[in-house]
Amino acid sequence: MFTVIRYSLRNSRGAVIGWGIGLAALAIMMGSLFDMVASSGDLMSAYVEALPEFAELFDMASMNTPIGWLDVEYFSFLPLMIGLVATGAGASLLARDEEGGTLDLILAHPVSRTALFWGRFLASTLVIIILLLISWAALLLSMTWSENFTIPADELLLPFTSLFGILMVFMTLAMLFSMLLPARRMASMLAGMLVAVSFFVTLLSGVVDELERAADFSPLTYLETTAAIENGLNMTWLGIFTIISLGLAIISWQLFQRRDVRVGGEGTMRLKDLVTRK
Amino acid sequence: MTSDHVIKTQRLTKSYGKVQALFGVDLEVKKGEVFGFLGPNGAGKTTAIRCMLDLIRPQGGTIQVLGMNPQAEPEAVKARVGYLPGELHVDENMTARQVFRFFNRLRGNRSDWGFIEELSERLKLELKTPIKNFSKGNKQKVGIVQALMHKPELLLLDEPTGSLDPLMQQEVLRMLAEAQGNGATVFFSSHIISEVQAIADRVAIIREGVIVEVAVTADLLNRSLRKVRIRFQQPTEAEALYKLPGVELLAKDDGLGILLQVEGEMDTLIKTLAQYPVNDFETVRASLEEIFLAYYTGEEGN
Repeated sequence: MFTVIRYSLRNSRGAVIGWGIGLAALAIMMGSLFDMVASSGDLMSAYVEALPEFAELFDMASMNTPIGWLDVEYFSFLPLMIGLVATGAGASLLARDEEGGTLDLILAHPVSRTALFWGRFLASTLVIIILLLISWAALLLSMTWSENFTIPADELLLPFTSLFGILMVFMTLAMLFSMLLPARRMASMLAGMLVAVSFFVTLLSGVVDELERAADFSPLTYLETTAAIENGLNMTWLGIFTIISLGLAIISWQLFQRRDVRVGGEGTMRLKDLVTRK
Repeated sequence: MTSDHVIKTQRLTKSYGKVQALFGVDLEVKKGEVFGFLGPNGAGKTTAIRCMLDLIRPQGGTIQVLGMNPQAEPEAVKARVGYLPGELHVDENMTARQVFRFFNRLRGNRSDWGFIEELSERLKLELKTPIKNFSKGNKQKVGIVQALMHKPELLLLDEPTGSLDPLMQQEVLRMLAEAQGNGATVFFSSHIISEVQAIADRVAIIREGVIVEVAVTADLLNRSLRKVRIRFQQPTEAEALYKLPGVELLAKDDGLGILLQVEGEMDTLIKTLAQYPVNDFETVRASLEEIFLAYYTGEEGN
């Protein structure tokens, strides 16, 4: 399994470097801008009074605190961006190699489907953890030159931990789709759409009453940012997301265990083929 | 399963949706032999091989590879098998060396690196070049080296010499002969008849998912169709010859010459021919290719 993890990580180098630079730049920019926002407290208050619904939508009243600022300007959009990375990683876990034809030869070697699946799963999980840690470290870095932007490192880790739990749900969902649907891009697109829907439902539920009920089913509703720092992480939700992710991963693993490996290319949509057989 | 059978399939069936790929395939491959699996594209060769490696699951029948069921013990089977897929796909950003290193690690570092270099050298394979810069033939060489590098007991090769130039084809056939000499069993599919004829001890011919013939290659050639050209000393109506079982008149000229096609033993024909004044007698044995084509045009298959 170690070889599988190692080579999967090697193949993810480009994605980690590219996304890592982008996410780090975003975090540094957000951290660096806080001093300017903090020094414009009166203007922000006037802005909130002038546009109360917009301010409520993004919880702008708390923007003059470091975590409030991150909540509005960083954690509101980060889940969408990194969520799409997670769904891409989940959908590609095995389907990319299968469509490329490389899975055939790898599985002809004495590596079990179980080892391959969980090795790849662990590697993808590591990639997400690395990207979150890069973001976290970049925010900490921006604190070194900011006068007002200070959050203890361990406390800042809590929102990222909460986000990690949710990202794992999206990743494993994409993984499951890739086992059920005939094409990786179809799985990636469907899971990506769910991330986007979750993002907008959660965002708009604050101002659109009709979406409040739907928001209960949106994973991003349970992302804890300010609350995690002020009250500590809600371990119940983290546990629930972990259990859901593991459940989805186990179903995907079982599907992979029993399915025929294609020689290459995309499959076809035949629902009866989804019934596993041994 | 008797101990000298390295592969044994019984009533193996496999379908892809509505397409039935294998209809009750029975195969027995003995230890140490080179077994050619002949058939055109789509006949079921690749499907049968992929079932043996548990890459796909048959709907019916049984498979034993090296005395094990590949579905029950896939890793144990694959540890002792070298596989070359019909279409080789590897991570093209890797060099050949990196590919071999990766596969060697998946096999628990069992391969001797000196042997890998020796195989690569014989095939004139550049180890430091990324695969994406390779021609189709060079990619095929990568596949051949990775299949042979751990000196497996059984080689499952799907079209091993496809994409290779004639010189390299000969080199690969030599490598397979050497592997056999070292005790390996070679099971290879092909539609290049000449290579099957050159190295296979036995052959199976598969047609639309059904095995239509399994035979020792030499026997198949011996008992197969021959063309017999006879020249008589004088115009002769040799009707007795045409009526013999397995004999068919193909051509007749000026009453002196006839061309017959004979299937099976020549003994009866020669004894019958002794009644006639013969000036010249010439036989041409059909190549394996002609036999193969005969199966596919239904001449013998029926």
